[in-house]
Amino acid sequence: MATSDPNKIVPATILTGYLGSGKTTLLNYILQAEHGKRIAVIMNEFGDSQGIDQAFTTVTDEGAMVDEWLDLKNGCLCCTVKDKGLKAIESLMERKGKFDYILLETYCDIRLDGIVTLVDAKNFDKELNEPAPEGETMNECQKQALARIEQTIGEINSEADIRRSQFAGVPLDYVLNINAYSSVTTKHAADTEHGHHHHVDSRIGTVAMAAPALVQWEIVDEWIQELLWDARIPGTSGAADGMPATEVLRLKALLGAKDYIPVGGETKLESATVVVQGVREMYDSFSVPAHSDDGLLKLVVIGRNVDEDKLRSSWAQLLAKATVSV
Amino acid sequence: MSDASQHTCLRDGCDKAAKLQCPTCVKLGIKGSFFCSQECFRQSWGAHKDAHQVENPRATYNPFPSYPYTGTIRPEYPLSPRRAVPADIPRPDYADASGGVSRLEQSYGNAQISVLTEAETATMRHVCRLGREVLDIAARAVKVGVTTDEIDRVVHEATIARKAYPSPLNYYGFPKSVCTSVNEVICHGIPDQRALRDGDIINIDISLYKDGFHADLNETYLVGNVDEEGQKLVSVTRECLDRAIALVKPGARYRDLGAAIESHAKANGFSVVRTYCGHGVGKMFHCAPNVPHYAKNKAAGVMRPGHVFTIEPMINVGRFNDQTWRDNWTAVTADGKRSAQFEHGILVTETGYEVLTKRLEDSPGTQR
Repeated sequence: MATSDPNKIVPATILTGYLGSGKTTLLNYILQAEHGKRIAVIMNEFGDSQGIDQAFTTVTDEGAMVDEWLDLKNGCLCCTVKDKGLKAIESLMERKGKFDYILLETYCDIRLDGIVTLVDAKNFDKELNEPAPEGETMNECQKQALARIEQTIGEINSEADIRRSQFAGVPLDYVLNINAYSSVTTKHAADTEHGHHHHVDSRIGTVAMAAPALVQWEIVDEWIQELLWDARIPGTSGAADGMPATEVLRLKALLGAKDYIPVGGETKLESATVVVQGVREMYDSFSVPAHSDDGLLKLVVIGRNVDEDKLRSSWAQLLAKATVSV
Repeated sequence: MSDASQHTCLRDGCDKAAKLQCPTCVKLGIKGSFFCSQECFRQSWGAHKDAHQVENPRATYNPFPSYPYTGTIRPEYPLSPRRAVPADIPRPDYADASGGVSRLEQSYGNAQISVLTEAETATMRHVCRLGREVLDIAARAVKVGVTTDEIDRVVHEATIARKAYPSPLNYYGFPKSVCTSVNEVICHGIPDQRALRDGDIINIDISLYKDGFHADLNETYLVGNVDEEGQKLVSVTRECLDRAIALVKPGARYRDLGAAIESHAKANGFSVVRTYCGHGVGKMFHCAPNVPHYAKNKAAGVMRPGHVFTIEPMINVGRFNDQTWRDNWTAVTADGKRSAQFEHGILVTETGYEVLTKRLEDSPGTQR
């Protein structure tokens, strides 16, 4: 183990990527891997999904590594809440010596070690230039698409080093302590500070909705399916003529679920705390250890052309049916 | 290696030791055509060239000799020349596109699952029936000694005789009109000069395009005397398909079909291929929904009346893992053990399902 040296310059890695591209997955992987480093993570949870990823992440690390956890309540760290972002880093630096490494989702002032961008191969083309190609099978189209994606990334940033992975399983020395910026001059560094402002399509919005302590899982599951698979706000007939369709890019939820059955699962849990992670039409759910704070139970939708009023009213109607009194 | 000095020149009246071989004979695999010199070769050419005509019209070679094949099947090239489709037969958009790319399919992306109108359903039913007829004709051609290229010819001619376009031809560059997948080949085998052998199992995957719609179906057939394990594999695979079809009805989730397939395969000691899936079919050859055959998949979508899609489980004797030959098409089992497949096109009806590609009373093949 490294010893505590308060004067040491702490390397930081920026983790970026589109909604649902796998940032939290890589984070979990890094936090669980054996590397002898104490890593401080500053997590900039997009929208108001604060708590969901934490619940998800905390489980996988058995509590020990997340002592230095800092929650940033909302917004984008590099632009809208820069002061808070800096504050988070400053307060981290006061505890210097207790950690060896900082992982940050967006931008900060520590020694910049590297920028790691996660790209979701399945959805990459769609995000850059719709429409996306779709072949017969996962495999055939993937092979062609992967080569095309890597070529496109190379065209955008010819210096980028590309590695394919499943569930972000890459060697740690590939993403940490890579010293990618050790030879970057101030001028270049200044240049890189610009161009930070075009990260999210202006029509993308976030809706966070609170959930009660316990809901009937099957009813909520069907609501999620209608939202993601039929591309409409559940209970409505879909977008009116000429109106753009509801397009959910990301869905996260932390729920207390009654009669929970995971996808394809054979056993039903009478009651479980459940994390739902959705990316476009795909979603999955996991049961996690019980959560102490019911205030964190919620469902968050990030998408294009999402009518917030209709979505909230649909959610309220759902809860009227699905809520289980405890 | 034989000692080249053993050979003598083939030219009449020359008995010198010969090391040079006729290049055409080497290519065709004709042995013993040695000449002592270019001069003797040239003088003999008029008579010698006839040897190329009579002998062995199907001399073949393995185009990827360094590829680590997983089983015993090898590609046997050359492929026959590309077969022509008469100009009066309407062609899908990829038929003449560079790389066989279907812009129609690409422009839809992850689109919603199409719901067919009654008129469209009637067309689809007719096109699927034609697909069944072509598959049955192809199946009757399956015999020991018949090449997969010959089956391709039979399929191609039966397809164009019905004024239909063979959907695989030029689809993302596929060179032939049907996929023929023998033994350890899981799917997408390219018809070539390999002759079927006693004991082989062969999957014939027919797709054709007519009146604006694609049909897609396949079956696995036994060639001669297939061992017990091979017979069991084929019948279990058919049962896997039947069990999944039985679940089709409005409101069912596409993701739940895989559990029925995998549990039956596993109960018989077999595994389910994960790389290739069933799919929506209709105006496009392949479209939403995606229909995985393994359990615990996360496929999107709920079945509604008017949806048409395929279920086409690929079941392996050994492990589920696959790899692809250097032709970028042929999918084989990674352990070289056999794989079987059956496919139907299914319509979701108000009350359940209709198998659009259903067998006819006289359809060949084993039906247990």
